[in-house]
Amino acid sequence: MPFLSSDRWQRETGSSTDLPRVFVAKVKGVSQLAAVDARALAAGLRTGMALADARARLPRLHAVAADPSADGAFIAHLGDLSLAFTPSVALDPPNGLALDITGCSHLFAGEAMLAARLEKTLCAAGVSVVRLAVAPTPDMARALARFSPVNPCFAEDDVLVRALPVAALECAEDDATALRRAGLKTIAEIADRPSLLFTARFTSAFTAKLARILGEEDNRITPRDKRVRYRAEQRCAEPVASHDVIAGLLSDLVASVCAQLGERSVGGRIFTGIFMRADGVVRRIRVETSQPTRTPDVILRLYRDRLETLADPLDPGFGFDVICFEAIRVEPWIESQGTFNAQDDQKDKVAQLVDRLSTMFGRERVMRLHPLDSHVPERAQTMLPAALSASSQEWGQGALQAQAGLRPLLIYARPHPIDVKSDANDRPESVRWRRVTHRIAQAIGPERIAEEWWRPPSDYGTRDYYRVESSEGRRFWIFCGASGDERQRWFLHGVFS
Amino acid sequence: MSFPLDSLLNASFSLREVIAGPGHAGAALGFGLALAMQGRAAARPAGLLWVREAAAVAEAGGVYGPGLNALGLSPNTCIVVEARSLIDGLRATLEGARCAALHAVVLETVAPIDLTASRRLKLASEKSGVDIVLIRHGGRVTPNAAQVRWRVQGAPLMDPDGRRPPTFEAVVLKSSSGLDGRSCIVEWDHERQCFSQTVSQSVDAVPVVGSLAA
Repeated sequence: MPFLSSDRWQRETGSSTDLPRVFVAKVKGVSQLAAVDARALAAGLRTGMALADARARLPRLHAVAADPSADGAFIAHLGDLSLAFTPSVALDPPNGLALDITGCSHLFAGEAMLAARLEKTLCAAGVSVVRLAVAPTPDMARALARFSPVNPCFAEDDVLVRALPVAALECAEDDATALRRAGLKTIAEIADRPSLLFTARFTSAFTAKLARILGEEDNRITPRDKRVRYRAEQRCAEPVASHDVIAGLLSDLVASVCAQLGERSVGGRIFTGIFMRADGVVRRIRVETSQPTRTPDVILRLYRDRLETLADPLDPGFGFDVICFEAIRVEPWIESQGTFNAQDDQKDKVAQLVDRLSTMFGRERVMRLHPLDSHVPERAQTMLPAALSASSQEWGQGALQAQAGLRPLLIYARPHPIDVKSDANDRPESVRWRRVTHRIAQAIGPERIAEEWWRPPSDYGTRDYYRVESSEGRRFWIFCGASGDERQRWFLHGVFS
Repeated sequence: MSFPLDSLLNASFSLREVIAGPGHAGAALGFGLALAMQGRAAARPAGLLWVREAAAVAEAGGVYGPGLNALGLSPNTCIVVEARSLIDGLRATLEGARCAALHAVVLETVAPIDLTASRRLKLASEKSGVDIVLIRHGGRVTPNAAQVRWRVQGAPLMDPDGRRPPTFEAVVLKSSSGLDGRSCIVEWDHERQCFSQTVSQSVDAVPVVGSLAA
C-alpha cells in the first residue's frame, strides 16, 4: 500500500485538496519526506528527499507532519480486517501486510479470488492503491509487491523475481552502489553468478536474503496474535443472518473453547465474540466475569444478557461470514469438588448474580458499600462496583453499634439548603424543606463535626448536627454550618427511618 | 407477646408492598427493609439485593452505610443496584429473585408496578424462596399481586436520649387474612429482628392491651 499515510489522512480528515500532499519527518535535523501521495509521486517527489528540494520542485505543496503511530494504528486495523482471510497476519513495515495463505486459498475459490476479495476489503476501508503479490516465500512476495510492474502478481517460481531490479533486494546504500558500479542491474544477473563471490564481498546476510527472495530458502512470518490460544471460529459458506442460527453457532464455539480451557485447567475471565459481517464490519462483544469460569451455560447466559441490552444492537446486515470466540484473559482454576460448606456455594451464586447484573446494566450500577476512614459523614463510605470488590469485612461491629441510631438511613450527596426558624437557644423550631414547613417536636444535638483540616475547606465549615423529629414523626438530620461569614446556614443532610 | 397484626408483620411472604405516606420516604424504606429481613434463616445469612430506580434515588437520597445498622442490617451484605428506568429495575429484581442464595430483594420505585410484572415477580419468588418487598414513594394505590400492602409513616418517638429504635405507624391496605384497615404503631427490634408493638389501635372498638416497650 504505497500511499498508506495519505489514505490514513484522508480517512481521518476527509478533506481533499488539489495540492499534492507529503508527510514530513525530521531525520538528523533535516526535514525529509517520509511519505508522498499519488499526485506528489507523479510530480517526481520521492521518499527521502529533503523538504527544501521538494518545495523547489513543486512550490505549491501541502506538507503534513508524519504520524507513525497513527499509521501503525491504521495498518493494525487493516490487519484485523485481513483476519477474515487467514489467521496468520503480520505487519510488514512501513506500509504493508504479510499474510500467510497456505491452505486458505481453496476457501475462496483460488488465489486470484482471494486476492480480489482482499483488495476489495482494503479499498472499502479507505486504501486507494493496493499492490498485491502471491509467492511461495514471504520475501519473494514482498519484493514482487513493491517492485514488480505487474499488479496483482502471482508467482509460482522465481521467473518473475529474476526480472526485478537490484533495488528489490533492499540492501544498504553502499552495497547498492557497489552493485550498480559492477554493472549488475537485475536480480537475474546476480543469481547467475556464483554466490561465493557475493558472500566474500558483501556479508552472508546478503546471500541469505537473496536465497530467500529467489525462493531457495524459506522463513515464516510471525503473525500478530500469537498468544491467543483459546479460540474457536466458524466460517460460514454463506453469510448467516438468522438469530437462531447465530445463537447455535455461538454455543458450539463456546463449548469448544471451554473444552480447550479445560484441557489446561484454566478458567476464563474475559471473553470476546468477534462477528465479521459480509461487508467487512467487525463487531466485538466482550463479557467479563469476576471469577474464572469454563462452564458454557454461564458464559452463554452472560452473552444473552449482553446482547439484549446492547445500546447498538448486533445487526447482521447481509449476514455474518465469520464468527470467532476467544478467551482473552485466563486464570488458573481447578474445579474443586463440591464442598459441604454451603457458604462457599452461596458466595459463588451471589458472585454469578453480580456478574449477570453487571453485564446487563454496566459495572458502575451494581455496587457494594465500603467504609472509609473519615469522620466527615459524606466521606465515611464509598460505593464501589460489586464486580471488582469482594464484600468488605471492615465495617467493624463495635464502632457501628455504638453509632446505632445516630446516623441516618439515607443521605443526600449535596445537602439541601433549608429555612429554619430557631428559638431563643438557637435550637431549630421549624424547618421548611421542599416547600413544606415542618414543626419540630424534638431536636437532639448539637453534634459538632469539624472539617478535615488537611483538605481544602468545604462550603459548609464546621457543622452542628441535630437529629430532629417533626410533629408528624418525620425524622431528619440537619446541620447548621458556618463558614467564613458569621451568618449561619442550615442544611438538610439525611433522612432517618 | 403477640398482637393482632403479628401474623402479618413477623412472617415471611413472597411479595409485599409498602407505600410511603407523603414525605415519609425514610420511614417507608426502614419499614420495608425490616420486612425484608424477616425470618432470616441461618442458612442464608448473606445477601440483600436493593434495587433502586433512578427517580427514587433523586427523591430519597443515597444509601448510607453507617445508618443501616440501626435496623440491624449489616452493610456488607447489601448489593445496591441503581437502575436507569423502571424496566431495568424490574429486570434486576427478577434476576435477584431467581438467585436462591439471596435472602430478599427490595425494589424501591416511584412509579407503580403493574399487575403482570408483579405476578412474574411473585412466581419467581415462590419458586426460589427469596422474598420481595416493593417500596413506593407516594402515589395512588394501584392493584397488583402483592400479598400484603402497607401504608407507612413515621411515628413520633418523643425520645430525648435518642436511644429508642425506629418506630412506624403502619396501616394495612390489603391482606390475605381480612385484616384490612387495621393500623398499629410498631417498633423494630434489631437484635431480635422482629417487630414489636408499642401501642396498638385497631379500627374496631375491641380494646387490646399492648405492652409498652421497655
